[in-house]
Amino acid sequence: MSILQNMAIKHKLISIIMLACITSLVLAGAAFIGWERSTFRSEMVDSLSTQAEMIAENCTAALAFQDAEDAKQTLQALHVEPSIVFGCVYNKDSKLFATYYRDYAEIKVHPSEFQEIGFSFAEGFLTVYKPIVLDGEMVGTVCLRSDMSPMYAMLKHNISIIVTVVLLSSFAAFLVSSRLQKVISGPILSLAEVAKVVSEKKDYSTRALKQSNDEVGLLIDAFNEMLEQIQQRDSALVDAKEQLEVRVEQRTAELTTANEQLTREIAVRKKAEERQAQLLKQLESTNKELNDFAYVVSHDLKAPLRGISTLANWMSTDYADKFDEEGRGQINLLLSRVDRMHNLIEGILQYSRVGRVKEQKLQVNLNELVPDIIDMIASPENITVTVENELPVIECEQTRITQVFQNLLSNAVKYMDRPQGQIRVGCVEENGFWKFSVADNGPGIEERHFEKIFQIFQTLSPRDEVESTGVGLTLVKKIVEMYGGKIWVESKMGEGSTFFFTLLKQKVGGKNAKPQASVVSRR
Amino acid sequence: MRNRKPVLLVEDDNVDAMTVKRAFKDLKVLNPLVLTADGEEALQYLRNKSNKKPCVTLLDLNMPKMNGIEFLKVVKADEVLKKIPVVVLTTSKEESDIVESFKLSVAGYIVKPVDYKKFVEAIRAIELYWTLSELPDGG
Repeated sequence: MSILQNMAIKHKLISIIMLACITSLVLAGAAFIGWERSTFRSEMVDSLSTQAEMIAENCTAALAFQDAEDAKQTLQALHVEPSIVFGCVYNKDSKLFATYYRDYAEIKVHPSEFQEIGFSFAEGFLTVYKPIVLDGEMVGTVCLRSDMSPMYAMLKHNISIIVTVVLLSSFAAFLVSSRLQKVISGPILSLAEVAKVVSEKKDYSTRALKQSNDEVGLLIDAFNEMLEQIQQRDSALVDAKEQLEVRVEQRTAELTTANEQLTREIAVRKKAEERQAQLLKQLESTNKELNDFAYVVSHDLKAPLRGISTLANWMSTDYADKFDEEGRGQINLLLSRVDRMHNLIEGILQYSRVGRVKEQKLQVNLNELVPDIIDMIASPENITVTVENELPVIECEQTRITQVFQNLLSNAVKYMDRPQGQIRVGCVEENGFWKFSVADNGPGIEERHFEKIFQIFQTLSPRDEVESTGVGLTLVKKIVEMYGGKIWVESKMGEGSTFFFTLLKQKVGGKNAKPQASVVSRR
Repeated sequence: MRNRKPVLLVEDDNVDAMTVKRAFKDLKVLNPLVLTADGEEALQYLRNKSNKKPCVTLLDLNMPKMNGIEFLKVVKADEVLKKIPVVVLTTSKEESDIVESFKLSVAGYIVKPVDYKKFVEAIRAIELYWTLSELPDGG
């Protein structure tokens, strides 16, 4: 089968057809010869049996009378039948009674021994044994032998005819199949050719020619349809590729544009940032200049002021006897105004010093610092100052935090109008900030003044009643805001005021954290 | 003071100079007070061989031409003049001024009180101290 599998389809078809034809012809011929042979045989048996019966019929008398010559005469009649080569009659005891030979030597045709009734084919002869019956009693046996060779010759002749017919038929079948195989192999071969062309040239527009409406036709249809689909897909692929290229180009262009825009934006932003930095620098330097200015001005103001103070002092002592009461009063007023002026200048100096002069930041334990400040203020006996809860340790410039508490506490003491004054300092933690409070039960502040009191040189009492520069709260505000906190006041007239300020809670500064440096109290 | 050498006052403000002068008189300080208006003038005085070297210099910081710190830098670089103790007498409470002054080996730093009586106290302290303390000889 493997040989068949590797053959070309044309040869395959021819081989199959030839094989089928030859097989059927040979089978038919063999069947015919077999049938003819058996027919011949049975005909021969019938004919020989009939002749043997005739001989037997005619020999009954010769046997009955033991007349061998008569039997021989009867047997001699067999010479009309050329195929019968030998005949004989056996008596009752199976002894040879009479014989007939035709042209052959006795040994050659004589049966080897007596056999049973019937017929047998042996040694190229048909031998028939028939009983000779007289009055229902077997009196002898007839044996006839016929030569088979004419029959075999005839059979041979027939076989040679059949073989010739088979050969001629096969040749005819070969010619016919060679012609007709093209009906099947032609379309397949052309399809194969088309497939080869398609696969070699990648030309999906080629089509196979449909030659018939059979399965091959269907195959070609399917193949063409497949090609059609591939062609469509191919062209779609090409289209998609082109589209993709176009899109990539577009995107690249867009990206380039965006990039350029971004570069421009970055440049603009950079410029803006530079400008901002410059402005910030300017602002910082302006701020510094302002601080320096305030410092220098205040400083320079102090010198003549001290001169005025000194001179007024000397006048009041040196010329005491020359001044009358009014003159002395005026000199005293002059001195007190000089004092106030001095305090104002001191205030400005302090204010300008915040942020201008940097101190080292320390871990300050307010639980130690605040009581020290309270002691330093030395409030009158009718005022009690209490720390309500535990205060935190914070990292800051100690001078600044001292100024904050000092100003808030001294304000509370200064403005206290009750016989039993109470001032409470407290601290709570709120949203990552420490919220400090300094509360008093003093006169309170009207709400419209809540903002104003933090502005510089703003005081709510006439200066001759309560000596104040109006710098303290401004200073406190500046310090608190410098540390990123807020300050505000809550108050009700007649009930007291509470000043709140917040400071950013640092990681290190817990309520229980150890201070790095011990608090230096008082200045 | 421990000796009768003059006290050099470097001070641009007349009233302040008068104040020191008056305080000296009130305290009966016998040392003569030499008045110079700025650092340059003071250096001229110190470098003039005909002038007696002062026992103590009282120095203001804020002055025209040559201020106190500049004066100190010159004086403390001079082998002879650096021996004369300098007490700063100024209005400035600035930490930087204080630190800078002591870095230049001043003997003291006093902030001028506004009140005259307190001023006198300050001068008294200076007088007392330099009466008790030894002073370098020569110059």
